[in-house]
Amino acid sequence: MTKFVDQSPDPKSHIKTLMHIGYTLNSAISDLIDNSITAGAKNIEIFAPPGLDSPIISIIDDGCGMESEELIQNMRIGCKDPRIDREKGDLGRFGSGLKTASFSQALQLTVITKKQGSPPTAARWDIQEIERTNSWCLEVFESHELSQIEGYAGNFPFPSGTQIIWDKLICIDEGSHIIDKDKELAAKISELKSHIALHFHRFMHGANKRTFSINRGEINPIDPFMKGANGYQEGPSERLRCKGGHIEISTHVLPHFNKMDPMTLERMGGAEGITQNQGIYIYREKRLIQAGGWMGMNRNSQLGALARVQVDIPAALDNDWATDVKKETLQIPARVKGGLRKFMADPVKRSKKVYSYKGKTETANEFWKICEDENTKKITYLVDPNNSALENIFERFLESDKSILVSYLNELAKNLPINHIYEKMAERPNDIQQDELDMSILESIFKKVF
Amino acid sequence: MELEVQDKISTCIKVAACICGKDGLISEVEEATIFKIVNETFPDFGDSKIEEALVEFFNSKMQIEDYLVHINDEIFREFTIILSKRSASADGLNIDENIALQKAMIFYTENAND
Repeated sequence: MTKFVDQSPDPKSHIKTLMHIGYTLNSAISDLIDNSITAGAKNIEIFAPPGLDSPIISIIDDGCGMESEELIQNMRIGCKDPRIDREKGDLGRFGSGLKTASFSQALQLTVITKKQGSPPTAARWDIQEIERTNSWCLEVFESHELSQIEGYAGNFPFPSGTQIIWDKLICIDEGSHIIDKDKELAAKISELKSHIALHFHRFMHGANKRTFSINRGEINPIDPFMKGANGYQEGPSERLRCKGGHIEISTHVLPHFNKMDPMTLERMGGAEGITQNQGIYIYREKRLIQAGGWMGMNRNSQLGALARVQVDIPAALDNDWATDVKKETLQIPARVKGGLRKFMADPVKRSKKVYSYKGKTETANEFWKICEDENTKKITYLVDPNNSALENIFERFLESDKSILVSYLNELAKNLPINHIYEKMAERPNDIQQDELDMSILESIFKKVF
Repeated sequence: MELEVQDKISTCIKVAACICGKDGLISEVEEATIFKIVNETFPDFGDSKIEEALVEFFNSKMQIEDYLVHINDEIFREFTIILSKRSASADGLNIDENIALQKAMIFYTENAND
C-alpha cells in the first residue's frame, strides 16, 4: 500500500530559490507599488537615502493598512490562491509579490503597518535568521519595539498605511566603498524613476490620481503614446469581449522625432529608444506590463518606429495570458493574436506615412536627384545634373576639365555615407544640423591650393 | 417574464455568442448588436440578463449543438437565426462565423419537426 511522506521544502534551500526568481530592482519595487495601489494608497513614497554605511530602501504608502493578524497572514509565502479571480483594480497576482520581490533585493524585509485608529504593528523576515534556524520564523514586533527598526521614522506619517523597509540590500554590491554604493544606488534609483514614470503613468493623472515620489522628488508620468502632443495621431480602437471580461485595443502613432522638443525626446529614450520601443503595450488593470516589441507578430522597422498598439486586459485574464509572478511578462493567447493582428497594420502604415512625408520634403532638393526604379527596385542618389549653378560652372570649364568634374561628382555620389546618415538619423536626428556647415574648412583648402 | 422564456432567450444569446465568438472573442459592435436586438425584441428581459447569458457562455464548455438542441419552438429558432446573423454580420461575416451560422441553420432544417 502506498503511503504519503511529508516532503515540505527545506526552508534554508527554499529561501535561496525564492531569492532567485529573477526580479530586478525595478520589477521588485513595482510589485510593492501594486500592493500599495490595491490597498487604495493615494501617496506612494520611496526613500533610498544616500550616505548610509548599509543602504536601505523604504516604500511607504497611505493605503488602508493592516491589523496585526492580517499582517502575519500576509507575510506568509503564497498567502493567496492565484486561481482565485482578482477583483477589478487588484494588481496582485500570486500573493507572493511582497516576499519574493523583497527577498530578491534584500536579506531583511520589515513591514510596518497601521489601520486607521489603531497603533502601528510590524513584522520582519530575516533571511539569515531563516538560514540559521532552518525554519520559517517570523519576527513580530510589539508596538513599543517599533523604534528599534532602522528606517522607521518613529511616528507613522499617515492615519493609515504600510511601510516596507529593505535592509542588507543584495541589489547593491556588498564589497563596495560607501561612495561607490551611493553611486550605484543613485544610478539604480534613476532607472527606477523612469520605470515607475512609464509603468504607472496611468495612475498619475485623472480623478483617481496617485502621487509617486522618490526621496521626496515627485515622479512625472511618461506617456508612451504622447497623447495630446503636437503631431500625435489616434488610430482605430476596439473592445473585444472574451472569457473574464473585455480586452480593449487602441492604436497610436507618435509625432515624428523632429516635432519633439529635446527634453521629451530624451525622456522617450531618444530616437533609438523610440524605434526600439515600437509595438504592443499591454496594461493589466492600467499598470503597464509589456512595454513595446511586437511579440513575434511583426518585425521592428525604422519606418514603423512611431507605431504603438495599446492593449488593456483585466486581472481576471491572468491565467489565459500566463502573467508571471513578477508581472513582467505575459503571453498573448493564440485566439487573441488573430484579433490583435488586425490592429497592427494601421499604426505601422501611418508611421510609415509620417516618415515618407518627412522624406518627400527632402526630395524637393535641387542639388540631389533621387532615382527610384520601379522595375529593378533600385534606389540611387545622384548629384542633380540639371542644377543651374552646376550648369553655370560647367560652362566656365574647359572640355578637358569637365570630365574631371563629372568623375568627381560621380565619386561624391557613390561615396555618400548612407549607412552613417541612416544610423545617426535613427539615433540622434535632432543633432544633425546640415544648415550649420562650417564652410571655412573648405575655404581654407581653396586658399592653400589656389 | 416567465422563467422558461427567460431561459430560451438566454440560450438564443448563447448561440449568437457561439457564432460571433468563434475565435473566443466577440467584437464591440457584435456585442452591441446582441444587446440592441434582444432589447428591441424582448424589452422586459433587460441588460443584466443579457450580460449574465454572455458570462455563462464564456464560462461554459458547451458547443453550439448543445445550445441549439434546447430551442424547440419555431419562433425562438427563427429569433436565434436572426440574432446570430445580424450580430455576426455587424462587423462583417468571416468564414468561421459563416460556417457556424450555416451549421445552426442546417441543424434547424434537419430537426424541423422536433
